[in-house]
Amino acid sequence: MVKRRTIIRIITYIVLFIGSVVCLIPLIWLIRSSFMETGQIFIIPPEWIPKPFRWQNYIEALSSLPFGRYLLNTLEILIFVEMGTLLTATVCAYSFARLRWPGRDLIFGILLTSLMLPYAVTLIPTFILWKYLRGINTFAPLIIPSWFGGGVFYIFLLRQFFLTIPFELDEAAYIDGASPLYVYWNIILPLAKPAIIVVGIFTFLGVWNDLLGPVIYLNDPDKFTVAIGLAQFVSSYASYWNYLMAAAATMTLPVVILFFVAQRYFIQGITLTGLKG
Amino acid sequence: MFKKVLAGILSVILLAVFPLFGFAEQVELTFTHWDVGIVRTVLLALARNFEKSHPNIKVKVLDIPYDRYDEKITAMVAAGNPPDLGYGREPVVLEWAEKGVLLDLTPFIKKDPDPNVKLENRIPFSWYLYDRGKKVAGSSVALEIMVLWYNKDMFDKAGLAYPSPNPDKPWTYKDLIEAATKLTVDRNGKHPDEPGFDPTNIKTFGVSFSVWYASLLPFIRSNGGDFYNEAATEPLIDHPEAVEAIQFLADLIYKYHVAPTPAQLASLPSLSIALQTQQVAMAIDGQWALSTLSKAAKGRFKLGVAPLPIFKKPVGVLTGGPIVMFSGGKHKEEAWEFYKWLMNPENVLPVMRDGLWMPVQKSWFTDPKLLKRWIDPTTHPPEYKQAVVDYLLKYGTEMTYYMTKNWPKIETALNQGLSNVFLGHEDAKAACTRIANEMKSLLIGRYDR
Amino acid sequence: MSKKKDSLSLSKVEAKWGLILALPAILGFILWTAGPMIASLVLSFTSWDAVTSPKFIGLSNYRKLLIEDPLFKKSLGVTLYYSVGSVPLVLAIAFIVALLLNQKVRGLAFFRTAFYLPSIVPAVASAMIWIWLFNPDFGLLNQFLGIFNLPKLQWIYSETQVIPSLILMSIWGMGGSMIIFLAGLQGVPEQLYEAVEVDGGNWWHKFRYITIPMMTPIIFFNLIMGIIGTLQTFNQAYVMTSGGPNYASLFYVYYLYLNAFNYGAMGYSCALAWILFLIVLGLTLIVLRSSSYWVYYEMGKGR
Repeated sequence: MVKRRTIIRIITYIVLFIGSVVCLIPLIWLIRSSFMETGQIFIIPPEWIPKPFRWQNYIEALSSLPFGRYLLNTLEILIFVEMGTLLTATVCAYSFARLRWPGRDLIFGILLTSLMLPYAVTLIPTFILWKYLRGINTFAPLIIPSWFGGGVFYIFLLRQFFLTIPFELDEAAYIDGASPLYVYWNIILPLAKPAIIVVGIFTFLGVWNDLLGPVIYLNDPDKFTVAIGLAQFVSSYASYWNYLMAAAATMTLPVVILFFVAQRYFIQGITLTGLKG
Repeated sequence: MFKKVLAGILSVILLAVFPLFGFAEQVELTFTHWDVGIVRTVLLALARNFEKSHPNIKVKVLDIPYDRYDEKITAMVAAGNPPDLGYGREPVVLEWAEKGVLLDLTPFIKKDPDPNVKLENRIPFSWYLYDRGKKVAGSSVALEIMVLWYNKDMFDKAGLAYPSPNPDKPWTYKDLIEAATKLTVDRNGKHPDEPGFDPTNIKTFGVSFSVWYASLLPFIRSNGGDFYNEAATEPLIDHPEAVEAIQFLADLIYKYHVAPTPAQLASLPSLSIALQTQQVAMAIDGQWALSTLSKAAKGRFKLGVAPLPIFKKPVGVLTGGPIVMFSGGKHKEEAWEFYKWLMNPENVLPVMRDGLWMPVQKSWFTDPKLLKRWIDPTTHPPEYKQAVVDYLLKYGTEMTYYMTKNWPKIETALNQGLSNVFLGHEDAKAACTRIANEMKSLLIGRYDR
Repeated sequence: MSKKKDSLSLSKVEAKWGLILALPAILGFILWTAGPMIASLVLSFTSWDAVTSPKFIGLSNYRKLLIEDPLFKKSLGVTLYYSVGSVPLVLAIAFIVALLLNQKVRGLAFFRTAFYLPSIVPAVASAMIWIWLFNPDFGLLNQFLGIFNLPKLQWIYSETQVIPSLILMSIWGMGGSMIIFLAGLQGVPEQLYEAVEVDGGNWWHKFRYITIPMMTPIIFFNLIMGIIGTLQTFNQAYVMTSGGPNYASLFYVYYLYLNAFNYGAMGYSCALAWILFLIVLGLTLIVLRSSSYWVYYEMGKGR
């Protein structure tokens, strides 16, 4: 029995290791390139240690545009969108998953259809709508919709997670006289922590990488976001791949840090074979 | 009592007369563009200078990333909030003009005494005409032409003569093949005409070019052919002249091995770096490349420029995106003032000296005094006047593509149809026949005839 | 007696709260989504170019689409091919990787980050990386094939290989689905596994009788979102292949985008969009129908 466990462990490690390498090599290549001169990037055989090691790439890349300002704007949007999404998506998902009310499933289905139409055809009608709401050149179109459920994707995701939680827990609380809101807050939310963290990370990514929204709705350069900055950067430095990689690496870093930190709330793994330990 | 009445009358007179002293209401213009870097800086400076000499007009310069330009402008127009003026994306400009989305500039041109704006004083083909030539949608900000750039040091080292800068006697395609073969070398030091040459391991390419209509057309026209006829009703791309020229360019890659494949091109750095690091000896690119090339060349290598090699006769293909005015704009007169400002070579001199733009007025190409002002010897190679200016004046042909109805669809058919030719999977003849078929239903004429 | 009364009042409370708590989503749909969706449907019956007034032309767009436009069929074919290849592969691999990452191994945080990283890199960097990987002469993939003496491939530079290449690219970016599976695995109570052990089961029993059933709601989610997502692929065509070579990667939404913003055929675009809508809806309903056979909700049926 012990032998089998060890064998499975070893296989697991090997597979994980190979998989990580496959995932990471391209990214290591990206980071390595970000420290090089553009002309050296595609030299064969590839040099894995940049000679010279150009730290300057990062400084030159990031100082070419007011990324500081862009960052502040992006963070401002981010905070409101995270709050709105986490709050309203969980509440709505709870309602669709655990409360019974007439027309619930039909309405959920209708909401789901909003994911099935490509943005290209709803872009202009939505823009005209926001024009009448006087939202053009403000952050409103980027923030407000997130307080109305945050997007069906997240509601759907959370609903599925909530459905895996046994109903006996709710029942017990109801018998004790709790209200649905109490059950939501004190019973369901704590149990769905991993799902909520995933929603949090995805929302962050969504705001961070959103280019179309800010471009369409914002006119003043001092309102621009990091994503617009990167797009402008790509236009001006189209073939200076070292700068592009430096900018892209910088754009990715916050998400990586966020993910690493959020790991703590993911249970640190279970053992499929044998008891804990 | 008298004092009061006097004061009253004076106030009334002052109030009535005040507006005449230029204390008019503040007008704000919106100007959209997609440029970055030095051009953006120049545009902003332009706007500020304009505001100084026109105190009642404020110019709001709107930066839009090129990738998203169409979506943003379309959304603005659809919502009834178009900018006053801005860059027009060439394929849609004339279509929008015909539909009334853009202003016809003819009345403004007629009214204005400034000789700079008159059609006759411009290089032909710099205006975008529609409604059978009766109306004007806009003018190119800057004229552009496709040329041959090269690294003089590499020619010196190989003991080769430079590409001919004389547009009356330019290189032929044979000269190009010969020189490129001598300049192309693989990582083992072998040339394409030597045994053991490895085309997958090339260190230096003799010549490089991107596959798009502006690279192909000069060669096709030089051979006596075209994509389609002048009236834009019949395809000509399947005719031998066009097929030969396209096959020649594909042969540069797959038969003579002197040019990079699309895959190899994707991993070459930008042109300026490629020339500098000697990964490429010559390149077919637009005049606008001078801006980055001159900066890369300074102190590192000698930059050269020449008219494109020919088959039968010299042909230059001019191109250049327009600035347009939108009919939904609310301050047409003021917008026209700013439009003129942008069109005035005096105001955009730094961008021309930098090498990015060329003027659009004829006099700036023919008057030696004016030529000296925008051809900066520290950025422009010494043979520039002959190789580019004379080339343009004598052999420049019009950019029919933007005047052609349905151009975006025709362009797609062209690009998709030729992709396998330039990947080495197909012969030009078969592809061109197929493209001609697709084009038949798409060619419905021009806007300016 | 009192129990019945309790359950009655419970359902009234439930219904009231249910509606109230779902209001943000319902309102949101009515305010921001329904309007533009209906607008695009109406516009599909017009010849609208987005910059002038729409002109009603009835079913012309749909007729042209179904009968005259070869690119409609081509782009639909390309997109379905990609979807059929990508969805099962991504689903399977993401699930397996999530299983592995749910084990108690050392360096778990590192491994998890490594697998997730590819999917959060900005599109522009991703494109650059894959242009290098796909390079026929010195790209990493062909070098790898060379080690096993396999012939070099053309990848995205070949009509026949471009879609499989993009499917490969989608697998590298499976991090999002993987994380969702991982979170789902976290939600499986430890006690259930212990119960199986007490009954003398091994890892296979745990997997077959606990993990899989408990994960079906999440598998269902990733399947539906996979279908909806892959059928709307746009970026790869826009950034990497421009729909080529020779229309071989002309994804449906890319073709739609070209019509909307390049060809001035927004009305036609709307028609294309609604045909896609019907296809996606149809497929979703099929999966939904089938779900009663294989999706297990811990909450039980009827809720």
